[in-house]
Amino acid sequence: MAEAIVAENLVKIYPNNKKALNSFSLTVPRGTVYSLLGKNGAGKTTFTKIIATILKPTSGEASVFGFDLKKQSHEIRRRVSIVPQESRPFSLQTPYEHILMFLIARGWSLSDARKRSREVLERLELTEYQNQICSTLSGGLKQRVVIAMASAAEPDLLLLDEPTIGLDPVARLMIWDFIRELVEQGTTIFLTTHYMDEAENLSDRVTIMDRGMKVLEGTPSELKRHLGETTSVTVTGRIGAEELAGFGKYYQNGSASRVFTSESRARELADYCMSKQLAVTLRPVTLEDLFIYLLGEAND
Amino acid sequence: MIDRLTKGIKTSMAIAWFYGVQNIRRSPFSVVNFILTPVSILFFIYLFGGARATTYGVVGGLVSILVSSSIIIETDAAFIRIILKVQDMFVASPASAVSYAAGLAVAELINGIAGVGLFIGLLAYYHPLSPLAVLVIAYACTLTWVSITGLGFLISSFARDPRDLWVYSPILTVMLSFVPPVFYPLTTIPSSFRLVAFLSPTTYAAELVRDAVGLSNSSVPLVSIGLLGYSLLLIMVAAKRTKWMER
Repeated sequence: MAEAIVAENLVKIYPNNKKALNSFSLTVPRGTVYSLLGKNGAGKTTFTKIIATILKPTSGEASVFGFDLKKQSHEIRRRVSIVPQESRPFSLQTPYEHILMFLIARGWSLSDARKRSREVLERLELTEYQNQICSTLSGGLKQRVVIAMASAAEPDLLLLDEPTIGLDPVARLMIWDFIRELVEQGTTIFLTTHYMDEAENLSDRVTIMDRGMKVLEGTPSELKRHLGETTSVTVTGRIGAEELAGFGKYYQNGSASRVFTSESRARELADYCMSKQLAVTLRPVTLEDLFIYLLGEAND
Repeated sequence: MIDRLTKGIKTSMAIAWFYGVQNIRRSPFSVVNFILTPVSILFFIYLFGGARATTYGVVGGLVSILVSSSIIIETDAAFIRIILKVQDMFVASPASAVSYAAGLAVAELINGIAGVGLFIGLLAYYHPLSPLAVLVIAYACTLTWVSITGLGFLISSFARDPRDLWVYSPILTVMLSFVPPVFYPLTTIPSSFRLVAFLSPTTYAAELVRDAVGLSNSSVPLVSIGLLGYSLLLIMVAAKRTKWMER
């Protein structure tokens, strides 16, 4: 059975000569959550748009469920749906109307679309707002309306470009549950996010990219092991780089410092910081630590 | 083929219901917005121009309402693409570019349809309409809507921000409704310059409607072919140059 996404050496150069993707390759297995992480401008949205058939690559090959991106885009479009980054619903229409219209536009029958619209509204806890015009909804609810529209179509591949921006923590957890439920039903989820905890909690595999190129790929656990340390120490307050250097890899930004080290060295650092009246927290390393280590130019 | 056509019509109707019918239900003053200018102009023509001039004013009002309610697609399409980013959701779906554009075009027309009805009613009041005249008027209105919508959609493609376009809608409405012989007879223009007037598709439409109510002696077949050709040209250019996918 074909993989959900196979991309090989994708290059995208925009008309202004900005190179957004530089020989970028990726394979996303079916029925998984795959996350793409990277700094702003790394090329995440460009890649997502190419896979969604919104944008043409300059060169390289890609397929979605075995269908060639360039020659069989109509087949791909029947199987995908996207929540574009920073997308918003229409002001004067209700959440129910959004979903109903989008399903009918995608070819659903009126009766099926009605039934499915109500199901999705209920699942995303939008039922009580279903007949309110969207201009009266909060930012988080508006975001949920767009997610409801895209997911209602029951696509085989759902592309989510930073879908939880603007959601409160409770709503975010609800979206996570919803994503897990979709995966259980067989949907493949391709996610870009700046929330590292989101990627870590949801993803089967993660790619970190920078300047259009792949930096690292693996499961969240594999990626964290790449850091080579088990404990992350955050120090708040003035502390010299030379003081941190002896404890492990470190990253400094203003008065905040983060050190990646072993558990025993972390405790020593914590004692040292406490003696200097500096606030300090210890915890196991996360994807965020790896992200900072890889892309924040940490010092060894 | 028939299946694709049926699906396309379904998509267009869904968008038209969503963006046209629901908008008008919740913001009925958008109808007034389109009617206000031509009715105001007609009022002054009626006051100072007499019955014959008023009939010209009614023809002009009909064409100008079609122009203003069609050209508005430029700002709406750009807004949906750039600000709401919902066009991307349609691109990544089985819906075609044509059915999406047609849906938006019908939605815009829904806002102008009351005005169109009002002016056709006035036309019938001033000049009883024969079945042939009704056909000619329907033909002129349909092609005006199609051609101006194509033009609007094309222009929307070049916008980086809807604000780029806010200024164009009023300018284009004036350029298409008031500069060419839409509210006034073609014969007012010196004969050596009359061909220039046919650079605007609205001249053909106005001439056809005037022909239908006996206000002009232009050749109906010739002007009909001219309008059809102009509309096809605009639609072809729009289909080729309009930004559906990103570049």
